[in-house]
Amino acid sequence: MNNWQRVSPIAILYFIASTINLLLSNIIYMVPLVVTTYNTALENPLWLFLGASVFIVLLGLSAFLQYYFFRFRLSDQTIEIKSGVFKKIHLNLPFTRIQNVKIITPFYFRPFDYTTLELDTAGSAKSEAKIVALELTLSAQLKNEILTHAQPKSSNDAIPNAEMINDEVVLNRRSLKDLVIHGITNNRIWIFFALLAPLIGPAANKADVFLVSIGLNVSEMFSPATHAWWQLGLYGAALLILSYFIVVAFSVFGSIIAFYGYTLSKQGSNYIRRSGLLTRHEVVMKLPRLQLVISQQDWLDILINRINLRFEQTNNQQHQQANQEIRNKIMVPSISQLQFDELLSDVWPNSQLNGLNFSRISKRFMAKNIILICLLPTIGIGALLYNQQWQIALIVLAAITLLSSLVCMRWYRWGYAMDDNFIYIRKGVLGVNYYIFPLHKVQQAKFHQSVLMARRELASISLVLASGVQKIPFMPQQAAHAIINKSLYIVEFTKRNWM
Amino acid sequence: MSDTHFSNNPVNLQDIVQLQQANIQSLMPKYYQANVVIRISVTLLLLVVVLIAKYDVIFNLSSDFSDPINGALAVITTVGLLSIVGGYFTDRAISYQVRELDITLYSGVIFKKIVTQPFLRLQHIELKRGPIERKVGLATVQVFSAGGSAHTFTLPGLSLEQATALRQYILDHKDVTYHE
Repeated sequence: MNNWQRVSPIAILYFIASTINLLLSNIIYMVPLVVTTYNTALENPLWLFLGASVFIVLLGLSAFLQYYFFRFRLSDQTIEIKSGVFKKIHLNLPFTRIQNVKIITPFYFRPFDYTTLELDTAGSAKSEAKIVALELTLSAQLKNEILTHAQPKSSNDAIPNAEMINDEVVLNRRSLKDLVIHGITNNRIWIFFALLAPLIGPAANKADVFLVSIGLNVSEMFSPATHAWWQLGLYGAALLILSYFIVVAFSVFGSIIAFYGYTLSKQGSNYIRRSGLLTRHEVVMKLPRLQLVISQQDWLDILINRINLRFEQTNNQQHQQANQEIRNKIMVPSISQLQFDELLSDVWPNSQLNGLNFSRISKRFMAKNIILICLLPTIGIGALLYNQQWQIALIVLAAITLLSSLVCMRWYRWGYAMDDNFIYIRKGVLGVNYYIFPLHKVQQAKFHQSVLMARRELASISLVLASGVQKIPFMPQQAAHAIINKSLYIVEFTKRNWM
Repeated sequence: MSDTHFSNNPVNLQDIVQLQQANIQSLMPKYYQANVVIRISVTLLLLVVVLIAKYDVIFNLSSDFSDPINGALAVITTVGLLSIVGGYFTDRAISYQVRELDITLYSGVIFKKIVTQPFLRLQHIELKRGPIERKVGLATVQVFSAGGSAHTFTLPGLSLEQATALRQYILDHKDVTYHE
């Protein structure tokens, strides 16, 4: 493996797909071109044919060139990749700098048993390395080599690798039923739409034409000239319910696309998530890289007792889209409380979420936020009442009441607890989330206090983790200092690494 | 790893109300002075620009735009004064404390903030000097942790000697982390 080598020619497929993807995501810039040439093109089918062939040839050629110039080699615990047709890139990535190993199998690779290996780097380096079109066995071998690198190396690589593959334990599987539940309780609609994004515009037009063709004229249906207000109201309600069901259906599809065949397994100290209906994703997390465990429950989840578990690592993927993010993170969708407890104690045996006494934050949190919410509209309401705009004043009042009750819910949920090694934060409005993290993963501690808060001996704290910041507002000043001092003490005394 | 070598004055959680208050240092006076001068100059510059417009020195605008110009004058004067006075007190409120294993920044007049950065969590450290800082012999130290760029620990208003010494001290004390 020490010599420069090319990947399999199957990679050409990948490059074609990624070029098409790039074109589709920039389709909006091509609209003027298409519009201006549409009629001319139709009148000259020969030219259209020629243009299309030239396009296909160019596409193939560029993919071939990208494949031809893509080479990689492994040397001395470092992976090197040379790529680029015009702009040459030479990437040098030591194994120790690799945060995440992902094996992504697009659907067009699946018949050939090829995969794409994606290596995420840590920290400020933005680059991520992609080795396109590796044989399945080779990429698994490479993955093991990278992951075992941190441990002392044994003389013979082949045998421990074989062992490691064997002693992989499946911790959790998600059935189709679980995924349907997940789709209903969580909005995964954008996973579905992300796939269709380029096609939605034309589809909407087609739908309109289709509805008219079967005798429904949408714009006529909603015309106030032809119908009584209650008819319109009924239509509206029916449409709302209908669209809700459509949204849920799409969300279920999205959930199945993202999580089909879900397994979470463990191999040594590595946690591996595999899932995906079309493109299979395999994401590996090393246990020490884990910063934060989140138990996520929306109000629907609370009703049916399901939890989404999220394992958060370093947060260097902010630039990615939500759709990418959910696939790259390790998330276990819609599990039961029991399964959550099992997984939590598997990653952090000392943590204890059950039977904790959460201290609620101060009621002044409500006072402050409600005053802030009321401040501006109150002046407005005064003006409205003066001008006798009763209806608008009522709407504003209703909005204030709604927001204020949400603030009260937020206060009701917001609580914190600490034991010897962990901090637990409870948060949410309608749903409830638990954030669990070990004290030694704290990067920086912040203490906030306004003059008014100081008078009441209250303070807010922010604990900065590599995965993001966790905040507890309006807690007793003494408890705030206690948490900060304890986390600093544990960081500085135990000197344990955070990753 | 033994207890004997560790000293960061671990404290009894019950007694503690503040991080240990001793040895809190304020910034170099030049820092406040320079900032006041900068804020006054910016305000004056903006005022001059608007006044030029008002008195038709270059363009003939005043007849059409006299209301917006007067508004701009009022806004610039108010904001300028507020930033000069407020900025001064905000700058004066900044102080810091270096302990063996961490550094703490105190700031804020109405909204007080205490940020503590343990040296162990250092990713990299930067010593920054802008043109004005170079002119008056000041420097800024920035400590980056894995918490991301939004949570960079920034300590301005040090003399160049202080900043260099602090940088060296932090690098010497960032310790070897213990791998699990």
